[in-house]
This record gives sequence, C-alpha cells and structure tokens, in this order.
Amino acid sequence: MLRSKRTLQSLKYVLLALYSVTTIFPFLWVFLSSFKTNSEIYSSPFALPKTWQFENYSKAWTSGNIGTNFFNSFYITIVSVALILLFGAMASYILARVYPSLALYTFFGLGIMIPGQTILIPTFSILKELHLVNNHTGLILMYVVSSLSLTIFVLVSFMKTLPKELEEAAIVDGAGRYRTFFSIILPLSTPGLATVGILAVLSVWNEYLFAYVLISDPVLKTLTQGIYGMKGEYMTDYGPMTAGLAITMIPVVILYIIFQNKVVAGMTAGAVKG
Amino acid sequence: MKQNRGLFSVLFLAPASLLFLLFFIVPVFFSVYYSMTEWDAVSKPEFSAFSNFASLWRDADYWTSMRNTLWLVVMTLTIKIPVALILAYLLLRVKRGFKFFRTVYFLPVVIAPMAIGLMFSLIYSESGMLNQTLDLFGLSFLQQNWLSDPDIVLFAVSAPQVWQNIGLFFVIFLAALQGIPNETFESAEIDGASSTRTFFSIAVPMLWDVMQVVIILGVTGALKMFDHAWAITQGGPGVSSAFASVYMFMKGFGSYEFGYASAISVTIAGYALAFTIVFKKFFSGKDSLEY
Repeated sequence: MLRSKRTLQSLKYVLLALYSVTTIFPFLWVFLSSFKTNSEIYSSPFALPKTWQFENYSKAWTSGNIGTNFFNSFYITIVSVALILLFGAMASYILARVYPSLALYTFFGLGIMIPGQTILIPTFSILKELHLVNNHTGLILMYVVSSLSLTIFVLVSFMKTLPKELEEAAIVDGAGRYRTFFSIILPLSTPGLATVGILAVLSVWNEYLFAYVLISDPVLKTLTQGIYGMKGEYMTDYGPMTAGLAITMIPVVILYIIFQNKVVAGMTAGAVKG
Repeated sequence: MKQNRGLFSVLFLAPASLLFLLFFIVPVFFSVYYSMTEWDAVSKPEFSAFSNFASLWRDADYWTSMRNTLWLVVMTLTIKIPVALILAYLLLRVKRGFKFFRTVYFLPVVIAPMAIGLMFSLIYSESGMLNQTLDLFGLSFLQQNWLSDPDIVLFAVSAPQVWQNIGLFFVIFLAALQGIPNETFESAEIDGASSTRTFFSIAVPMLWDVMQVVIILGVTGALKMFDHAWAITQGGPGVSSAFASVYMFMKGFGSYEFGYASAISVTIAGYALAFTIVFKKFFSGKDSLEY
C-alpha cells in the first residue's frame, strides 16, 4: 500500500516534469539559438553555442531596427500605464466609496464583454480624422481605453475592502477630498495598483493588432511590430531573428519572475472578472 | 458639502468615462453603422442596409473561418480544459517544487502572442526545431511541411494558442482548488476514496463556477484569436488557417472592404455577447454583474 503510494507520487512528479519541459524547451531553444551561427542552429539545434555570437543581438538591435522599436514600446508602455492607473484609480474611488453607481459600473463592463476587434476599423477612421494615426498619442489613447474596464473592476473591489475610518478621519481633519484621495486612498491602494499596473504593462508591451493598424512609420513602430517585420527580412537568418524575440521576451520574463504572485493573482482575478 | 461631493465625483469620473465613451462605445456604434454600408476606406461610406450580411451568409471563406474558430472552441473543451485541470490537480498537494512548476507552467501566458507565434513559425519551418526533434527520436517519417497542408496547418496554428491558454486555465483551476478546504479531500481519503474518485466526485463538481468562467474565456478567446495565426501563416494558405478575427482583418486592412469587414466584426461581437449572456443565464441564473 505504502509502496504503491510512493510509486504514484513518483509518477506524479514525472508527469509534472514532462509538462514543464514543453513550456521551458521552446524558450530555451530560442535563447540558445540567439547566440549561434545559422549553420549551428541547423546542424546542432540542442547544443550550447560553440562561440557565443553576440553579433546576433547587435545585428537585430541596429540593422533590424529593434533598438528603435524597443524604446518606442518602452515609452508607450510607461505613459499608457501611468494614465491607466491614474484615470482608473480616480474613477474606481468614486464608484467604490463616494458615489456607487451600478449603471456606470455596467457601462465600463461593456469593455470586457465586447471584443476589442469590434472597434478596430472605427478607431482607425476616427483617429485618422483627428490626425492621430502614425502617432504614439493615438496608440496610447487606445491602450488606455482598452485597459480601463479591467482596471476599474479590479480596483473597485480592492478599494471596497479599505477601512472607512482613515478616510473619515482625514475628512473630519479638514483634508479636502482631493487630498484624501492622493494622500490616503492611493497609498493604501498600492497592492491593488501594483496588480493592475503589472497587468497593464503586460498587455501594452505585448499588444500587436492596434499597433499594426495605427502605426506604419518605421521610426514609430513598436517591438511586436519590429519582430514581425524581421520575419520577412530574417526568416532564413535565425540568429538575429531569435535575438529579436529574446529582446522582446526578456523584460517581461524578468518582471514576471520578480512579481510572480502579483501577475498570477492579477491574471486570475482579471479572467474571472471578465 | 453635498454639492462639493457631486462636483468632485463628476471631475474624478470624467477622464475615464469620457475616453471610454468616445473611443470605445461610440466606435461600437460606428461599427454597426459601417456594417450597413459599402465602403472602400477612401470614398464616403454608402448605405446598403443588410446586403453585407446577406453576402456573408453566402461567403464560403467566412464560414471556413467560423469553422476554424469553432475548432478552437472544441480544442478548448477537449485539450485545454482537461490538461489544465489535471495539471492543477496533480500540483495541488505537491510540497517540493510547487513554486517552480507553477512559475514554469504559467510562463507562456506572460509572453507576447506575437512573439510566441513567431517562435512557433521558426519551430515549424522546414529545417526547424520540430522536424529536427522528430529526427532525433527516430520519427523522421513524421516530418513534414507543417504549414502548407490545409489539413495540418489549422492545428499547427492553433497549438501555440492552446499552449498559452493551458497556462492561464491552469492557474485559474489551481486557485480554485486551493480554495477548497483541505479537510474535504482528507475526509474523502479516510473514507477510502481513491484520488481519481476524489478528483471526479469532489474537485470537478466544486469547480463548476470556475469551469463556466474558463469555458466563456475559451469561446471569447477563440473569437479574438489573431496574433498567433497572423504571425505564422497570415491565415493561409487561402483562408485555411484564418480565424474569425483574422478573416475580418484580411477583408478590412488587406483588401480595404471596410463595410464588409465591419459586418464581420459585428457578427464576432454578437457571437461573443450572445454566448456569454445565454451561457450565464442558462447555467448560473446570474445575468447581471457582481458589484
């Protein structure tokens, strides 16, 4: 009995380990390939690089234009997430604690129920009228709008759990509502803000479709556009291509490893809310 | 004070509400309007009532893309959900290595779908990693051109999406399983239930609420599926690996039939809304948001 239990236990680990191979292996292959010559990638796909080809990275970064794309994505992500957090927190504060309104809450809920693809064509035509096509501001605007619903859903339920006393004390002490918000509510909401902030970083950094439609000037393109563009040029030259993929993935992987619990909790809450 | 509160609320709600109204809700209505026009993206849209929808009805390519989307839903039910659920159940009471496995299983979820798609297109290429791996295990008779056979390409293009989704569903199931009190499992074990039995008679029924969420995510995810397919095949050959959103994009920004593409996007939104509402009503009786 005990013995069969132990066998079962080992079998469990074998299964768990097998699946983990399928999730790690492709990334490892990309990472190793990004340091190899093309012929090495074909001849010995699973070996360590004989000499580490850092040129692949410089090739991707400069002639593949990934450097420019990287800084564009970085800038767009920072600005979008800052605005998502600010506007989202302001609205959530009212909906959670000042003026709860089911109608408004449902209104924002539409953003989760209706697929983003529905607004692709109208967005393009509206932003074109406003001269915001081929312009980072237009893209940032769309990222803010697409993330607002989920941000508000998660923050409202977070802010509802905050104790009322501190806020009341601040108001009695004569702190205005603005000061109460910025110096009491926002700091208390840090865990909630971190969760939605990381979700927003991931969704903006990883987004492709809106960027593709709204940005065509090579100088303004984002990282996902950049690596897609490399496919045409470097499809037969795996080294720089995989280096470009690694440059896209590494920042997100680092963020994920540092904030793992937040990322998992946020994605789960976000999915369940949606 | 009361007045102050009203003004304050309006000011604080304004940025989010206005942006959302102008750049989400209004575009949704525009989409519905455009779907009833002939429009080549350059000249003015011309009203054509429901003719786009009538053409859609007769458009074999549209139905191919819908059938492909349905395949992805079928894969959600037959592959993603079972695999994710089994992984979560296996990992649930593992002590050593718990964090490692969770980290690794969820890893694909955080990576850009575009990057994952491109990664798979390298893997699938003729001398790519997949064919090399098959060779390594002496399975070279299985080697093939993964992206040119219309029967295989659909699965090749779906695989990365299935793979990413398993990670997401896995953590959702894991969180839900962790919410079931340990005693429930323990008392079942004392009663002599095998772990397979415990799985089917305790874990699965108690997960019904999350299961609904996951099914809805699987369906809406299939309707939104774009980046992977675009990265790997751009929907080709022909439309054999195009999903609903990919076909919409091909018509919209590929051949500039903005009216027709809008009609496709209206049907996509319609299917997503209808499925979510009907499914929730049917299974949980809840039709409003929890607030």
